[in-house]
Amino acid sequence: MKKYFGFILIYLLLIVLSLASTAYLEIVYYILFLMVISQSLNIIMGFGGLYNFGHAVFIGIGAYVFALLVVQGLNPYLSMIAGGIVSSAVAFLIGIVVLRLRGPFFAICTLSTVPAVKYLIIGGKIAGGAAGITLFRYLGEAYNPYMLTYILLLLSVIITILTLKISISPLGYSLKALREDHDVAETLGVNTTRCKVIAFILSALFPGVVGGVLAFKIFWVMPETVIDLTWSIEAILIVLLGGSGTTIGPIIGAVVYEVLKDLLMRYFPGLQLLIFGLLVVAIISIVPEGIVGLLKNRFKRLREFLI
Amino acid sequence: MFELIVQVLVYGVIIGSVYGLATMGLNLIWGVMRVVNFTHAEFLTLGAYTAYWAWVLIGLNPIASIPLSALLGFVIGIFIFYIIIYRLLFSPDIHSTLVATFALGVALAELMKVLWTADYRGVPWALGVIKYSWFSIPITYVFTFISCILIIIIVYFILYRTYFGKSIRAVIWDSGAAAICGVNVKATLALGFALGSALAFIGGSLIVIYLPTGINPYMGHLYLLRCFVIAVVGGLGNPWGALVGGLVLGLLEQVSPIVLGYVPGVEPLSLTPFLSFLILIIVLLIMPEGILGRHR
Amino acid sequence: MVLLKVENIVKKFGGVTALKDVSLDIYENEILGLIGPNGSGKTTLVNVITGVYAPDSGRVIYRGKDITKISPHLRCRMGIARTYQITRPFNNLTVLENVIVSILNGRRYGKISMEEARELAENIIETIGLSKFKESPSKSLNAQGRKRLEIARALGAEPELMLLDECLAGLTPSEILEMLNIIRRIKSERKITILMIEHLMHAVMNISDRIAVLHEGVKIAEGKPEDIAGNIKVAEVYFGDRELALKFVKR
Repeated sequence: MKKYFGFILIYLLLIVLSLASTAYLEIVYYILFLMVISQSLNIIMGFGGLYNFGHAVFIGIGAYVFALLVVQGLNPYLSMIAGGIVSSAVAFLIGIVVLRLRGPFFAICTLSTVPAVKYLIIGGKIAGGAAGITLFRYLGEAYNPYMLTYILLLLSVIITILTLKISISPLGYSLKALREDHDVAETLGVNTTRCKVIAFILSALFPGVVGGVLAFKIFWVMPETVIDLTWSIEAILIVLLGGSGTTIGPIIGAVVYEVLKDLLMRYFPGLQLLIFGLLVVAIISIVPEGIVGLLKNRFKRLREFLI
Repeated sequence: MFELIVQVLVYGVIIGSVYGLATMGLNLIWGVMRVVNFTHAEFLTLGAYTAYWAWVLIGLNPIASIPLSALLGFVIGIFIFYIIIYRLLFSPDIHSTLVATFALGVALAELMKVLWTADYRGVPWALGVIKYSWFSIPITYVFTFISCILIIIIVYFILYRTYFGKSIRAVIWDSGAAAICGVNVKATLALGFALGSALAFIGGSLIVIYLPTGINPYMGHLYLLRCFVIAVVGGLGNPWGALVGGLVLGLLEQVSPIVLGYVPGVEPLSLTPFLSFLILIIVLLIMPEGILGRHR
Repeated sequence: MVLLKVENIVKKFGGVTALKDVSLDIYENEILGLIGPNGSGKTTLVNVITGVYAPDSGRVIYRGKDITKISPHLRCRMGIARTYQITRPFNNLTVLENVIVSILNGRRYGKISMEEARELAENIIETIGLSKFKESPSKSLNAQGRKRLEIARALGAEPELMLLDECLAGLTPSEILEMLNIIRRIKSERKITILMIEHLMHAVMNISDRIAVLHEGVKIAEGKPEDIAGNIKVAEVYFGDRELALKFVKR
């Protein structure tokens, strides 16, 4: 139980911050938003070694499903869950096709899905096309920022527990093995296809739900607002920054990232992405093991908390 | 009908050849060092801005600014290679270069935004139109096409008639064997990357001719999908593959909106890129080597 | 009883035919040595047996069942495990974790708990002599350690048939002796059948029950070690010269 101290500390900190003021509430909202999508990405990228540049698409799918159901009169919370389920289903369909591709080809393909899905929605005039769906009429009165933030908190806790369980489960071991050496893993009994597909589906579940939360917050679902390559970038950055393949990594990463982003906005407005871009290059060249890796090497006593 | 076909063919080939030229760099870099250069889109954008500033500050038209773009692209390419790319080539994680070039691209786009704002700019270079009864085409397009051909011929000469070119082809084929034969692989890789980036810059400058007012820091994203489709369809390791892929996409972009125009309830211009994405997936699954394959 | 049978295997890579109509039987509980000059197709044969390559023609039959179309991970769960000539550990995993992977996915797939797997892994690592390094990342092992890890990992899958690809290469003489002892113990204690690709003549002649010789994708000889040693064709392949081979064999 002691080894979960790091997690508990961070969550308590976030809860306290969220109650401090509405400004802090907003920050905590973004931290948790990023935490959930990064932790999800960690499953396929950190454990499985597959860099899904198209991760942002899952959020968009969840947002659209949420919007379409809410407009039909369905309860918003059920709609969020439905968003997650549909997102996973789509992940399954995309996955069986795309997961055969190795390394760079997988990256090219997934990166291309982000603009492709946008073009599909606009071009096929799906769900309102470029104009999207507005939700003011349906949700206007129900909006409560505290509630959305605490939903994200709950989601974050759930995905973290899930990730902890995966990392010590047969699935986790198999994923890590296929990440290290795909062919050797196969000859040692790992059903790589099955593992990759399961990991992909799991990585899409929570972003789908979070898409619903996002839609609830912004009230207007359209391709530009809910399918944003920036989230893919941020999720990859946070996983790398925190420590790819560890469970506490994305959590630390999300906090550090958002804090940094806020500081940068205050002193160097408009330069955040530039600095973060360079930061990623630096991380991947110099400290690919991330913050968790660095801490583990320097402070041996912290090792049991950095799982 | 005949008129339509001619129109589609001519515009498809002309525009497709620029697409192909713009993508050649991507194929070349992959062929030489197995790196997918996700910064490619920003190189295109930088090339476009080069053409813009050359126009605004010196009065050079985009075609005249090609040597400038090429030089800039080359120098920046060498710079980026030695500072970032080289050390990552040996990293155990094959994704290092991917993530690094992607992040660098993001950083460059933001840098451009900071320097030059996100306002749309354009190079309104127009020389009139050639008209032949029912057929018309802007003269600038014709010049662009001719320049493309010339540049492609120059690239051919570089790759096949110079020592540098031969060492590039040797390294593409087998870098170990090349090293044993006395080829300075590191220098070759650097020059290969620089050549690739120079080509991207040139491509960016030429694309400006087709976009009178579309230059902005994020324009690279528009070409991201296009370039990947072109590169993969043509054959990633093969610079000529980019030309084939470019022509395929160029023609597709002319034909598809017409055909889709008959389909009710869709937006042909937006659905066409999605079709190209489908082609990308199909090619990746069925013939990942592309039409022309790796070697050259 | 024949455990594994390879029937008329042909494998081509572009213009090169790596295996030309190779047939081989491996009997239960034997150590079969597979020798031959570099490039003769030994590793290719192992890749065909494990399912990494699909043969252009021919069949692979395990315990009487045709497994030619079965994927590699299923063949492992049926009882076929292998080591790699150039060691390929799961670099960022510890030695213990490496072995746990194959235990969880090998013959006991789905039937073993995490605690049992961990215990079994520790046992295997103990047997193989790597206990000191069990929590170290496998990329930090030296050459001998890596070779042992290859074997430990293969053992984790609890195979009936182990295919060892040059597991002695790069070891010092005393390390070789230790490794040979480990292999003998694997055969006698765990009743595992072994196919051993090896270049070290004295080692493979010493330890094998039978030997098969490949040359340029063709099996040119098969039999007991003494017979192979006196075989003129084999000697010619190694010496490259028929006169010299005759002189060698006459002695």
